[in-house]
Amino acid sequence: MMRIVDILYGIPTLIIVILLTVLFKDKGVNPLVNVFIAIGLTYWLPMARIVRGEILSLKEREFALAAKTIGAPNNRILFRHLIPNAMGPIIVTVTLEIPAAIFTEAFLSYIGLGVSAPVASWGVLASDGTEAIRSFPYLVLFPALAISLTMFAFNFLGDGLRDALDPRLRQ
Amino acid sequence: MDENNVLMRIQGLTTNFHTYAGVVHAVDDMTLTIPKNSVVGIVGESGSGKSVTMMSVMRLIPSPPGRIEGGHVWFDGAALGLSDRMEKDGPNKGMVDLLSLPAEAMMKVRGRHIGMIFQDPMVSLNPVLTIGLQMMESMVAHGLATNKEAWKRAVDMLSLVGIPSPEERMRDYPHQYSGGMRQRVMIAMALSCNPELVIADEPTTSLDVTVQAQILELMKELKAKLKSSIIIISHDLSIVAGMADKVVVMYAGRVLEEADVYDLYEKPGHPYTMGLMKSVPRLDAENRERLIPIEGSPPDLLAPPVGCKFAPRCKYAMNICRVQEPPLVTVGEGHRARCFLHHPTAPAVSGFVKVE
Repeated sequence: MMRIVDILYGIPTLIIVILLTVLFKDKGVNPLVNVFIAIGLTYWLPMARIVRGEILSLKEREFALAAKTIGAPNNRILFRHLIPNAMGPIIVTVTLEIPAAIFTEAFLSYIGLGVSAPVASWGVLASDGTEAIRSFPYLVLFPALAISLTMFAFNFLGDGLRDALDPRLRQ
Repeated sequence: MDENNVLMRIQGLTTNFHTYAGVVHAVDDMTLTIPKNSVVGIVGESGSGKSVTMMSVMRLIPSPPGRIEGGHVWFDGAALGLSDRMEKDGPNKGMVDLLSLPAEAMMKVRGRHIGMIFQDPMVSLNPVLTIGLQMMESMVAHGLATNKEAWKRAVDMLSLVGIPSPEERMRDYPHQYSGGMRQRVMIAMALSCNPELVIADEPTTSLDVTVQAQILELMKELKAKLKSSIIIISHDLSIVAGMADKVVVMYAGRVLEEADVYDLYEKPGHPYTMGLMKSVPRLDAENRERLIPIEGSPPDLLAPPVGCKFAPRCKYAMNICRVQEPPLVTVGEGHRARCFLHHPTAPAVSGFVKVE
């Protein structure tokens, strides 16, 4: 299973996303759903690798053995002991992936593979704006600013969440 | 020993690790009897198989590479409540072989009937769960108590092991506890289900000396209060001497000597035990003597020496020691040793009490 992930991981995400969107483009799928599918099919890869790596190292830790010696079944050890310990990296990955996904959507819309009018997206707005960049530069500036700020905000949210949820960092 | 008084009997336990370099014979033909309400100490150097023996009993040997190749671990069937799996007759009547239990049944034994205290309390507690949740876990997992009852009992256990204001400390996380307090929590956790047997795997090794003394004092106190047998694993003879009724000396995965604690110190039946005694500092020594170490290092278990495993380091080794492994012979009441010096034709050695 992880070998499949490795292979997919080796191919640049954008290429997969572009291929998928092209594949589904004229199949009568709502273009928005089309983008969802393309992003969903590729963005689970880093998460899978991070969670697997994290669990592999956590399950060798002494407290996992200690949980076994008190007779806890495997699923209990997994959900009660291992997943909460992996929460930090999971949250960081999520908050890094959300802006990345927003950016990917913007990019797809920008090159015309994502949503198109009348559905609005920051990518479409920026794309439309570039056509008039000489006379009305703010048409591209504001969507770009919105995208940047959102990505910033999610990164900070991730840091904050990790600090708040990890008891080891709590004072 | 009274046959009805046996809590656990390890019989011919053999555990090997299959590594790329070859087969490591970590525990070989280990035999040990744990009576009820007793404290048994297991001493030995690093790598002598003390911990592997206990992990084999718990069936928590990582597999692969580890494998329990043979033997039985008989446990009192009445205590386990597994009357349908008890031996019908023979020397192990009424006992259940832990090694042949299905995995789910074994899970119910761990924690409920056999508790374990680990060496390093700094890493044995889950850093992201509160002490309270972890204390309650074994009781709830074994269905002994509802959450509310478990909470109450956990508070009682914490105050029993001497944690001040336990009610509030239940909500704290492990990093808010000191090392000694964490070890107290580990002890409380191991005892929370009232197990018949508690295995303490070097419980004081990672603690500093003053805390070590407190923890030992606590364990002695609890031993008197609770009706559990304790197996204390240590490489420190003095810790074992202070607590145990019976001592087992392990070397290279074997029992070299097994004796009542007084017998062991008064008339050690094996040169290795004698060597160990001489390498421990004594307060009552008359003049300032040097400690006498045992020369050499433990054998490579990938290719253990033929014959007695201790022979290459033994001052008194005879020719036969390098050819044939001595059997574990009874040399006194409850006193067994694995040494050819007990043979009638062996030469006398000073400080060594031979059986008649």
